[in-house]
Amino acid sequence: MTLHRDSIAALAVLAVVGAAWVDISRVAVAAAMFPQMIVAAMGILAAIMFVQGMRRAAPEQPFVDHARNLALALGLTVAYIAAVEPVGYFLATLVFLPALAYGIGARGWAVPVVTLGFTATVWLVFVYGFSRRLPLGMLFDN
Amino acid sequence: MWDGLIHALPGVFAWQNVLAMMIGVVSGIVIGAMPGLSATMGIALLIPLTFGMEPLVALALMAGIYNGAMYGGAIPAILLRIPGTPAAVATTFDGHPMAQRGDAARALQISCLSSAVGGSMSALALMLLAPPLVLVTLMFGPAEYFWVAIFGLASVSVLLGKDPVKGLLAAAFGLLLATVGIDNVSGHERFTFGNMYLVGGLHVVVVLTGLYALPPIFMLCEDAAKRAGSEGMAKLRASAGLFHEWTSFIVTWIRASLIGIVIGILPGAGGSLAAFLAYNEEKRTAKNPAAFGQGEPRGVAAAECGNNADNAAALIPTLTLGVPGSAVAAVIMGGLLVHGLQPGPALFRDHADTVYGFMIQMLLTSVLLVFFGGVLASRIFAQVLRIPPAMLAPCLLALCVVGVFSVQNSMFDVYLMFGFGLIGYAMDRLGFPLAPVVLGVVLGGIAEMNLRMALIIAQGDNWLLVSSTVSQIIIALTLVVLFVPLIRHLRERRREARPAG
Repeated sequence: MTLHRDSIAALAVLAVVGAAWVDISRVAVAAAMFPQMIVAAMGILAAIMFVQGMRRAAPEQPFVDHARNLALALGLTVAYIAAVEPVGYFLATLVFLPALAYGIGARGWAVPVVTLGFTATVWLVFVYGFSRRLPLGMLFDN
Repeated sequence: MWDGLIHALPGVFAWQNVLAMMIGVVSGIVIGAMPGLSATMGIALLIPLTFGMEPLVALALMAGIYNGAMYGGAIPAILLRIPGTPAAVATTFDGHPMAQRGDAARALQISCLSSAVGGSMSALALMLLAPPLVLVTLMFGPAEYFWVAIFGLASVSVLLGKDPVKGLLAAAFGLLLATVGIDNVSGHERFTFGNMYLVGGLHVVVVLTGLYALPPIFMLCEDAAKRAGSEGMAKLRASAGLFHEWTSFIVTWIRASLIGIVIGILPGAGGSLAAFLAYNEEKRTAKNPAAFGQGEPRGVAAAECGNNADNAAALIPTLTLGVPGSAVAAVIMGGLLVHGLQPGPALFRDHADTVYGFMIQMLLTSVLLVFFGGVLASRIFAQVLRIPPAMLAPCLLALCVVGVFSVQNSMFDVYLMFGFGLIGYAMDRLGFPLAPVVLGVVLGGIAEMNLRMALIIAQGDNWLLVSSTVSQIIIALTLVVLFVPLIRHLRERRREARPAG
């Protein structure tokens, strides 16, 4: 038997509820009271959602519209975030923007123009305008 | 009240604030015009960028984006029959047929002027109703504030989504997130898992950006494969000015504004509901209802006026009680908290210039729509529909990263934001409403603090939590809100059980 996605989500919530209950049980009573009330409520609601899911027909809509594009977006974003500190925000952005744009279908002169324009605008607003210190990377940060 | 408004005027008309309102309106129209982007997402994206700004400048940007985006949604709704925002769905009914018969410019003029009228009426309602309502909250003690927070969460959870269980679960998740970090009373760490970055708790901007801004961007990346540019866009031809015939819309505007204001004040009801109700009421009372859906200008006027009349009105319960009337209002409340502005009587007493200034900004940004939303402007804004999503999505992602990083100069926050983005995407796909999560994060601290204060005052007599009349009224309202879907469900089942005919 295949579980409805609502029931699977309810099981995931129940797992979170279990972990949260174990963690909060180590805390003193007064500080734990409110979180325990919430965790208990989540447990009851997740149980109701699990039962409701069992009664529902399988959804017609797929969970993901375009798996390739989503995987590419998520993968490149993780790599981008990981690269910001060692490589620097601006260098990482100059690589990330065209890579993702090209990956999900952008073509032509707009890609380099928007990449340069966006990066320059961020520098102008954040660094020049608001004096924010963005990660410069190992190469430029002394 | 009048004193407060008059005192706030010089601050509102400082050049930085006027510029911020203009930038906000223009950005809002652009955001609203892009299908997939909403006012909620625009403001969520903006809040990290407003750090370090004067509160009134930040609020001017938020007011501009809010009003601008609610109108901007009409541009693709009319030109492409793609509503830029969910609230613009009702605008497509008559706006696109008008565009198809060559009246696109007139439809845009009607929607622009109607949005401006609806937004202005709503802002006036905010100015007139919020100050007296906040006096009522002076009767509230910790127990009453706790119940108000529970009422707000229950109403947004149950009324905003389709499934009350998912709504309540989302709210509980938000409340749980609010408990992360050091407990202010006892000093105990909760859900920090030994991580020093979590000791201070989760920053509302991180949660907000992750949950509200990232999921639509991920969906934009998916959509990029299907949608490229603006094929099939209706042509914008010059049209005679609307201003000579504006009197014919007065009754429509009054009716739609009243509907929008009432819907706005009700917690949990949103702009799309106001637009639909205003449209239906206009159709119901029309001499020729059959013309609706075929390009009837009054249909466009009612939908857009109702949609924008909900804007400032949704801020009435937000500013006075800390209970947002809509998802956008929940995000704006997050923005207020970021700038140290706690809704309630203290906001009106200690930050009168800011809160009254914000009300005036809601009015002025509605009026600015007339200048920035005309045909020439719409022609320019319609060009944003030509920006391919494949180019826009990476820029928005990079903007989220820089925005969230600059809040606390922390890459950990950026990772957290990405994690919340994934959770938000999954929740959206599973049909969970996201507004209750944000509201839970925003109200969680207030609810817990007031509950514990009430219990300390009660000294073991827990009956005191529910003993006051105000508490009992709020509890009764909460029960009504919680049981409305159950009653509706039972009624539907009884109707289904009845034999046909």
